[in-house]
Amino acid sequence: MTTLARTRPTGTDTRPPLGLVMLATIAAAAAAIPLVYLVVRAGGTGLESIIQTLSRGRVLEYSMNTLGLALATTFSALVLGAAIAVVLTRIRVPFPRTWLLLSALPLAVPSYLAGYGWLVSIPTLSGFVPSWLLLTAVTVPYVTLPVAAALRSATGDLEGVARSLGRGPIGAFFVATWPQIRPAAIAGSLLVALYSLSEFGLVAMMRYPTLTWGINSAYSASFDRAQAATLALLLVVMALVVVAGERGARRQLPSTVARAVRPRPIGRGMLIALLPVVAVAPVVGVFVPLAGLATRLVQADTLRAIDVPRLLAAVGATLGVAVAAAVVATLLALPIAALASRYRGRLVTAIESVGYLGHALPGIVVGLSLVFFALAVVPALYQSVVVLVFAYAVLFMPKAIGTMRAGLGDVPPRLIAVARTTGVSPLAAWWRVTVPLALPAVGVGALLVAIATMKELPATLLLRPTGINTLATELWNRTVVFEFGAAAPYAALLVLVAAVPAMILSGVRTTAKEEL
Amino acid sequence: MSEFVVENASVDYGLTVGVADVSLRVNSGELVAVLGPSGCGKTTLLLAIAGLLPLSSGRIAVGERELSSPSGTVPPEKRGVGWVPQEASLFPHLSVGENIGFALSGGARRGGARGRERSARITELAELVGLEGLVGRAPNQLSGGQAQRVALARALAPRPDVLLLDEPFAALDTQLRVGLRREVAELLREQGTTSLLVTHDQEEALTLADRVAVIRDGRLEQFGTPEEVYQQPASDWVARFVGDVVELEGEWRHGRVSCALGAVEAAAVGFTPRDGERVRLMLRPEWIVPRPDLLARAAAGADARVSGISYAGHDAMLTCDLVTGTRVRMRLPAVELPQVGEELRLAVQRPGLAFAA
Repeated sequence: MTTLARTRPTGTDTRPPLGLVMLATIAAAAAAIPLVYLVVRAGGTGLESIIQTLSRGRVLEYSMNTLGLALATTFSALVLGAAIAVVLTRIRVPFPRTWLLLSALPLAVPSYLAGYGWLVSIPTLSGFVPSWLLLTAVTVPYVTLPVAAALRSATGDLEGVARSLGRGPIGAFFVATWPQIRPAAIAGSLLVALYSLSEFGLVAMMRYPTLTWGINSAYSASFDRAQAATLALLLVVMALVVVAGERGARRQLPSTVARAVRPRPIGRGMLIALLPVVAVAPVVGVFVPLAGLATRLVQADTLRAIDVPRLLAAVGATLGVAVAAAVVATLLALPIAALASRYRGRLVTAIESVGYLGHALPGIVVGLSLVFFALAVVPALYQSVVVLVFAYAVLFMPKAIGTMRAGLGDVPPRLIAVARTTGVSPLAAWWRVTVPLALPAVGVGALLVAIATMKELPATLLLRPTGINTLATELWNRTVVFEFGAAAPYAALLVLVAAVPAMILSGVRTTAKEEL
Repeated sequence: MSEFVVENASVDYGLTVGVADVSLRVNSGELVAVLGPSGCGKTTLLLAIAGLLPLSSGRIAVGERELSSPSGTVPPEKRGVGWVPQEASLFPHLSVGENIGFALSGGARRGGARGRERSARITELAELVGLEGLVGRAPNQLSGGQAQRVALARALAPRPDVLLLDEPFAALDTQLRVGLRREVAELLREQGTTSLLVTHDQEEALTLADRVAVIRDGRLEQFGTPEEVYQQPASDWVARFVGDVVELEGEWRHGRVSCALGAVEAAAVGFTPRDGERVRLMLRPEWIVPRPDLLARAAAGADARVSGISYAGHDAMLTCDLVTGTRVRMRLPAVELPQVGEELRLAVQRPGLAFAA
């Protein structure tokens, strides 16, 4: 009887309404444009030319660099993230809430901002090692957070049992605990891999040539756009492989219901030795860069050189595209989220997956593909804000779909039925029950899109109309020519309008999740 | 108010358990329990009555007003059918008072005569369900029992013609459940609300309801008073579902069944047996009693030895081995119990039920 609420809220809810399916299909089709058009464009150059492009020495170097960086970052983030998660969940630390928030902080800082913050202090940084270390610091929360959650729900008594049966602490961890956190750890590290593959700003600042860098330079040297398309396709294939793996890993997530294991107290000496493990990522990814930025900002020549109108224009442009992208992404995501939250079936799954495409596509790929698309299909819109906002919407729609789907799904269909039996019409029930309950999720989704848009760099570089500059592009343009002082005010404002809200939001959401 | 009628109602669709040809006539102010095992279709019937599922045949009506038929379903909000769902399902974004007043017109913030009328009604309903102090609380600050009280008040607010209660006590712990359900039944009788209570709990149905509708596989097996359903079940399935039974093989002879307990007087259910026909005799355990006064070898009794006692405080279930080797169970008030191993002379104190073998 209890299953009824889930399977059949009301008799008419089995098949999704046609109008909703159509709206969701249109939204999904919009999300598919960049990938489809990239395939069309790259395919149009002919197999021979693709093979020719791929067999060039530079391409091999780009690919190896991309894969090497992704593998190294994934591995280091996995090890460090798992270690941080174990410390945070299994050991009694002072101020556990603060440490948790601290470990999530690097998520809020765009990697190129972290790169800038380090370059300010050490302008000679370049190549693989700094790229790898910084990328690890910035991406490690993708592993820490899910693994910490999995560790909290894992039955830690098993580890005690293994110890009592004669295993050492490390052996017991691998026998008893690792199997329980493995799905979360794998899913998290694949996210890190995806992030590393798509990374552009940081590697470009560190002058480490990866595929994204190659795409950008092939595109900028505008005589060879077919080569850019081929490289983008290669990158997309790598990203899609990673996403497929991540989906597979996520599906294995077990739902364990168990007594939470209490954190164990340890000696002060051990604690002092372990806390740096937790602190290293926020220090490297957040505090050092912010300190570098702050010292540069308050220098007299920096303050004197601030071009206030230009700065305000960049703030205005950043906020403007962010709001527009949030509105468009929310509107596109709403029908998909509404469909996916209430209905099952192959069609629904397909529409939802397409809606999530932006999650897999590197920003530079979406930017490049939409350049081609605009030039070929809607030349009037080429280099207009419309295409730029559309690119943001496609890239960040998954964030809106995810939160809105969860929010709408949390409104039990039974509540609507109850509302109607008290004498309220379907429309009034939707307005008085569904809307107030789902509104916070819609708001959070829109906010996530806006924040991500403000931090976006590669697609913006490719698509921004001439004369329009966001904080991210201004920062980048100055950093690549080593004008660190001139870049500082833009970096500071970027922290203010994008990173700080992201920190607050991720803090709120992390603790909210932990309190469940 | 007028009679509530379900006539040959069927609900038939692919996935869930359906309802087939169910007819119920419920008098105004009556409390009817819809009793059946899990998955028998009783919730489906309830959803059809609430207007959340369409009928494939038959009709549902209150007096002259037709609510459901295959050609049309009056929408839930226009039926005058209230619903208290299993998990209370309170609106989490509204306070207790706003939940109770959900159906009442005149928004809370509007003030004026209507607003005052509304808040007076909310107060009245909160008092009715015994929650007068909690009107300002949020639903997540309520206990399970309190949440069910709010759900009840919310459903009563628009003065429904019929109130549906879908296992409203199932999620509560035993002690709370017994108290709350008695209280709710009294409240509904005082209010004169026509109510349908869906439950899978036999005891709940028998103790609370004026009449009990027993449902099996979407069909109505029996509709009668609790005594009828328990003492004169319409089928062997109802007999077994509604309470404990003792089953014995026997032979029909002149209105009696000769079996291991002697020649037991019995009424045939659902068929007319011939003399000498094999039948199945069903008894309730409390119908079997020790009768030391009965002579050995009397036609109506049997000798037995107590082989086990399961003590339950107010009464006890005795397992007895008859001389023929058959084992029967009997329920005795736990005032003066025999010992294990003691020999008893057993008799049946009221006519049993004979079913086709």
